[in-house]
Amino acid sequence: MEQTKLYQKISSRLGELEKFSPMKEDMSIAQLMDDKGISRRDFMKWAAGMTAMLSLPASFTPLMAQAAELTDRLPVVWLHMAECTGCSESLLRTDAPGIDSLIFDYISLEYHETLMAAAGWQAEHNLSNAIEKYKGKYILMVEGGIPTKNDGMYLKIGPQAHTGLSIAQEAAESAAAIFAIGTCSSFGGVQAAYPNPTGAKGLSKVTDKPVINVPGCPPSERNIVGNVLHYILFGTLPALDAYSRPKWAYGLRIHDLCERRGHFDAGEFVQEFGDEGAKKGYCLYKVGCKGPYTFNNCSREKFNQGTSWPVQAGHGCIGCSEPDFWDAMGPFEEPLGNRLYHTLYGEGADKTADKVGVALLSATAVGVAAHAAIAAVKGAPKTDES
Amino acid sequence: MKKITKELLQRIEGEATLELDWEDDKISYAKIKFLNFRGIEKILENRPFLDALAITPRVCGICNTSHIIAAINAIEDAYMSMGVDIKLSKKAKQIREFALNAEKIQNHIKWLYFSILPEILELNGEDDTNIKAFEGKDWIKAQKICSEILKAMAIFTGQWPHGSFCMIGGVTCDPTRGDIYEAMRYLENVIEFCEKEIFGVSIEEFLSFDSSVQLMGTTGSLQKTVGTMVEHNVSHIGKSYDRFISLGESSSKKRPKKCLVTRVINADISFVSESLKNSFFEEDGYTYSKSAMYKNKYFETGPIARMMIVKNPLIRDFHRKYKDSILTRVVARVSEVAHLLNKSKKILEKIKLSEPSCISPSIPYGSINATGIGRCEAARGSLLHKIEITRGMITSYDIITPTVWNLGNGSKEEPAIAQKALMGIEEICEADLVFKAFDVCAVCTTQ
Repeated sequence: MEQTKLYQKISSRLGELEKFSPMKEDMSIAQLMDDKGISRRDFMKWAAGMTAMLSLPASFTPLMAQAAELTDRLPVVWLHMAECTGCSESLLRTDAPGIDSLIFDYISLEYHETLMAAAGWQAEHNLSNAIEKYKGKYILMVEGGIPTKNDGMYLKIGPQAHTGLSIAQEAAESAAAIFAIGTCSSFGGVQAAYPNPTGAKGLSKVTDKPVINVPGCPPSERNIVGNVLHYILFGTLPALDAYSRPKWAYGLRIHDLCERRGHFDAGEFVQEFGDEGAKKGYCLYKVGCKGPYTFNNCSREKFNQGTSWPVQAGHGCIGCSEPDFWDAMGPFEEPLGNRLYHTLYGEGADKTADKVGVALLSATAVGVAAHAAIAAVKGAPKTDES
Repeated sequence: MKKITKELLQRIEGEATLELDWEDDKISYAKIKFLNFRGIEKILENRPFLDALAITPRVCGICNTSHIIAAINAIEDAYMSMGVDIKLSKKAKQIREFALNAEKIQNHIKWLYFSILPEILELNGEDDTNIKAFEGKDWIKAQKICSEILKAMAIFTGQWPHGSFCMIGGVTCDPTRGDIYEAMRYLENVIEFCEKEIFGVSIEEFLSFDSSVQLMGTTGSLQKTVGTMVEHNVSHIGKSYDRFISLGESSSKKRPKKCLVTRVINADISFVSESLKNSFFEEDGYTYSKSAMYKNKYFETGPIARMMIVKNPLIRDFHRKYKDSILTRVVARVSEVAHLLNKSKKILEKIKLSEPSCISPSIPYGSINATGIGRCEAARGSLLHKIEITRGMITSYDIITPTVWNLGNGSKEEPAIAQKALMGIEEICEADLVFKAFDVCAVCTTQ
């Protein structure tokens, strides 16, 4: 019953959206796919995948396809703050032109500093135009942390040398929905690590508007596109966790769905990189995997068009989608749970990871560490004999 | 007549402003301004030294592999300076080189298609629909090929950007034969694209070229670029000091070298210095960028430097005719793609999977007291990481990126590389082209 209602609600919303005239009248998405040699079948397959990712029933697939076809009604403004352009790389280059990017990039991107055709003065003009023209209607996506120290002087953009801080605030003011793309924009990111020389902060700290965080360094493309589609489908923000991350993407820990989880449970660990355990694909917890403390869907969605993800390639998760990355997730290649924490939080005093409150229930951290320790005592299979 | 104009440059990684002084309708001086700063070097201080492997790649989203390799080289150099033996298996070296090659290939292709070709079409007055971002057929094709080569890389690094795959003594991945075949399949797709679209001939044939005439007989986008530049008389612009430097290690060159016009000599890293002049860190500064120098002189780094130093016959031939002009710079970078593809293919063919991935030295991190220098040849040129470790903690970290060599600011009397290349130019579109040929990466320049 619930489902039928939801189905009807989405249907009528898409019907409403359809009444708007397309922004690019000379090219429909159907035509575009035809031009690019993407069959209807491929498109429906993709829509089915997206439906599953958003945890919707399979019967919603046609709605997802319809929503994707409507994305050209939704203008997107993408801003760069203090960052490395890695999120754009992940989204707009590495995966393109997978069908997800094709729809996302081609149809709706109104402004993107790095990739847009116009450069310099004209680009700046385009930004204020887009903000004006689509006032209250555009989706704002911000990549990068916002430097706030010294009035934001560590990031100046455009010929008028406006600070990144003021541009982000202004763009946020008239946006219909705001997504902080990547860990920098969500929580400050690597440049906000101690001593945070530029006072970098997440977008939500500099605007009163609600911000949806899509962290990860970088986040997977599907997590970004999924959010946009979710917004089109429901016209509302998705269910969020305590750190404003959409639950459909960040609801589970890396550890929960990890392909090496069986080895963890069996007490089979890589003791150091390059050992027999590493060759056999054992659990990476003891060489510093932060998977048990990290909420993300990398193990399911993977990177580079589903090619691989860190754990598959033999390196532990580094916890890049958690708040206070990197401070909360260092030191590198060492387990977090049972280690004395070199403090970046207090003067000189060492604290254990859980006391610092590393983005997770401390009990889990201790529990995981205890399991790893017990497993070692009970005698993990003697790998060098095999 | 004197005037000053300001040009804002985008469609690069980050943003830069170019302030141009004009005298008698010619650029008499140029200030290159980078107005973003994050303080990564500062953040690295007082952390366990392995953290550099996670933090430094995040300096740059498009050359993160170069940073992780420079960082691991610096750490391993520090170990070795303490007398610890680092045994890298051939396999580990090959995987590191393959990842680095893949990153360079995609950087070069992107730069050609997204920075250079649009300008070339504009010179020709041609319709640019095919190259238009998100829409053009060629743009999408190039985009797809960049993903292909990165997929080949991700098999070893887990993800791109920001794959963590290097550890002291090797790499963390343990690829299977199936992984190698998969990587090979992606690589073949890239080779096919480059042969068909860029070079117009097979990679083998292109690599045998030793004169510009042979290149002009082909039909790819490289030939078109060269032809257009010659036809519109922009082939001679953008000359700088004709001094090149390449500090990194590759399979074709182990030691740091420099090249004065055509004479190649050894270089010594201890002569590399960084100047804070003109930066916000000193009085009257106007940029966050520092400038790198060798024996207090500016040197150009990048594919052109690498090609001149290994005495590549084709580039030497272009250099004979066009010196270190924009044309030689462009041809050097694009033809490096052929070399990289060839080497990467050989790596995949020869790699022995039975060798160990990582041989960890058994010495506690806390007992490391040493300094190390990591050298790496990134897409845009030489990258240096200098690390100082005291009892396992970083006490200082210095990153010198390629763009600090090429795009720093000197003075009117002694301009830096790109400044000198810009001086004397009469048209703003030409200045834009010269500047883009250096491939600006603002996020690396200022970190």
